[in-house]
Amino acid sequence: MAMTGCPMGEALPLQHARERRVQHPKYFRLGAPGLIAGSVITVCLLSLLYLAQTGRVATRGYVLQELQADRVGLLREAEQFEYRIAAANRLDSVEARATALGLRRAAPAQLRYATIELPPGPVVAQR
Amino acid sequence: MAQIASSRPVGISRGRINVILLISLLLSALTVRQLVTIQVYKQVGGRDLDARAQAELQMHVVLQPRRGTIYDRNGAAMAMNVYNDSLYVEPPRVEDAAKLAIVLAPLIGKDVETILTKLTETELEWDRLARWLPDEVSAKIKTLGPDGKIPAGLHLVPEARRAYPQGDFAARVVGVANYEGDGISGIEGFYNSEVKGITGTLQAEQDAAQRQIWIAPQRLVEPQDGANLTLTIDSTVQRVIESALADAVIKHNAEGGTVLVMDPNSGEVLGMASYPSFDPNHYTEIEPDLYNHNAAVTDVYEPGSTFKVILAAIGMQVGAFNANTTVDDPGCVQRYGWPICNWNSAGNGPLTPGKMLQLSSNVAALQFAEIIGRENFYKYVRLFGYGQPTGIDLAGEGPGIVNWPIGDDWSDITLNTNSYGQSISVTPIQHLTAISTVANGGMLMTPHVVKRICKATQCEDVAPRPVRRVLDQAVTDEIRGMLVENSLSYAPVVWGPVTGSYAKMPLVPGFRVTAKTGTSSIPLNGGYDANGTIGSVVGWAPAENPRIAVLVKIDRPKDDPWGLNTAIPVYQKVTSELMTYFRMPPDPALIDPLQAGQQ
Repeated sequence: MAMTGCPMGEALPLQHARERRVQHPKYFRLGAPGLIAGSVITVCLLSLLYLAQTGRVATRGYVLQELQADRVGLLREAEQFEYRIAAANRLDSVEARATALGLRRAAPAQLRYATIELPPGPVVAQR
Repeated sequence: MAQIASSRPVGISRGRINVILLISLLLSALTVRQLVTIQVYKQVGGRDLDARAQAELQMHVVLQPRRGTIYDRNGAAMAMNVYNDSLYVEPPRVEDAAKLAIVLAPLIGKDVETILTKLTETELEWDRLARWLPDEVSAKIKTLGPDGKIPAGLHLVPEARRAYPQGDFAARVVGVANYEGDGISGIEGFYNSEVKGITGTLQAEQDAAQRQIWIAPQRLVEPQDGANLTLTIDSTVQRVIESALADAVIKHNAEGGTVLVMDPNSGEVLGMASYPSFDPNHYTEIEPDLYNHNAAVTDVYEPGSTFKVILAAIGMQVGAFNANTTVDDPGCVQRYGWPICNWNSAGNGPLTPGKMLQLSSNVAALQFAEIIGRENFYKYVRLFGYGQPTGIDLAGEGPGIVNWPIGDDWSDITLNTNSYGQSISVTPIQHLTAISTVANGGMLMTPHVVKRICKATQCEDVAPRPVRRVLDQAVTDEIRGMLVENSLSYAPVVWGPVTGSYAKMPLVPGFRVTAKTGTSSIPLNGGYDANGTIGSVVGWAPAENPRIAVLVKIDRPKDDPWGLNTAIPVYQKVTSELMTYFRMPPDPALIDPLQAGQQ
């Protein structure tokens, strides 16, 4: 045995540690049933993980689909508004509304023109 | 004893056991066979189970692209897509069809019998009751059911339709896209492949509710939306010319007319109006002849005296004559056995090209053509683009008709009649393109109506396309002066009744503008129609640094056959309003005192 002729009370700490280390693998040693059980547990865990992930992706997919449907609906609504804006901006409609407000077209003689001399070179707008 | 007998095991003969075993074996064999058929060959009764399962599981969806929007040059939408609900019925699921038909009839505008027939056609799985319902009707149908919901068996499905928010405004230019989303005329037709887009597809697996299963593999080909187009058409210009044209056609009880406005420097068409117009939103209710052609690019007419501008330009370009060359105008001359006369058969004596234009002398024109010579004349007629399409980006453009000297229809007198715009047919766009060449200093430009094409986020501007230089600047300067003089002599038509003076004055107060009128006979059965004319005018403004070139054409006016009286007022009104619109300041020196108080 590892125990030598040394008296019990005098066993060296290093020796004790070595003995414990030698005995350690028995805690991790797996027989065939242990391996099978371990494999089953691992596969189960992986399956659960996979299921959880696919379930989450599927749910997200449905949410995404609903969001896409909402987006299409909103785009259609926007196009309806765009159509109504365009129809309201028809020049004859605008003229009719202006006339109803008492506005009338200016005669050429009523127009005043201001000619602005721009400096040579590029013109930059300034505040 | 009886108890003992009953406790004895039942004796089954070996033969019976074998029979039972055989039957069991047979049944097992049948079961295995069936299993193999189903599991391996995946068939039952000749039906392919795999294919059926795939058909139920797989979804194949065609993804429709969005048809592009068409805008005018200022960003106003001319053609776009809107979605409206269409009403579909699933006949097997309909309850109380008779009552439903009575309720639906006033909402969708169909008679009860028609609706009832569709509701009760149970052999059909799906049928359409009405397309593109107004929003308020759709909202009502959604609450028609007893529980305040849509009735059983009815479905409202949003469907895209092409809509034209401007109605009949610029309809001949924009054209029409049919109910299947294909452009069939105008811009919609010419640019159909760009505007329509490309369909996409989605192949994936679906669940029982026909929703895509996202974890399954999918094959997606994204649809490519159609391009958005920005036109060169300016809505204000368009409105001015449509309004002026409609007024003139109604006033003169004419059969129709065309007004074109072009930027002579770039070839951009700013306005293109033909009367009558149509509402493309309801194109199926009108004759295809109306919505399928754009008179400004398809119809040909003899340009009449407006062609004398081209004659003068050719003569001076080839050096056949100059501004001071004169020919004698006795009023009528004989050529090849035929008399050719002026409009009033009156003689005008010696005429320069400028006076030829001002008095619109046919006799002088034919003599100037003879000086130019056949070869030079037709060489330049071709260089100006007559007898061939201009290449404008609109569907159905015609080439016009020129009787070339090498053709069968040519005779010696053709040169003479061509000189004053007879025996030659042009399209309005072709003629205005040639006139623009004179206006811009001699460069023939390709006319176009699309200014910008945007695909997704990429936009491409359509650049002006010069075709060739036809005239020298010096020649166009000479012609410009002559046509400004012309415009002064036309002014009394507009200003005479207003000012009481029939003396020369600016046609458009404050501006030097050019103009040349024409009154064309209308070819009919190898001769000319004695009962109608086409009055027209061409010109540009301002004369120097032109902003617009204008063509006005009034077809068969009933009250006055002369282009001077029918077309000049339209030209004057259009030019005057557009000078204001383009913020061109008038020159006070070019306003007659009599005009000053009348504007």
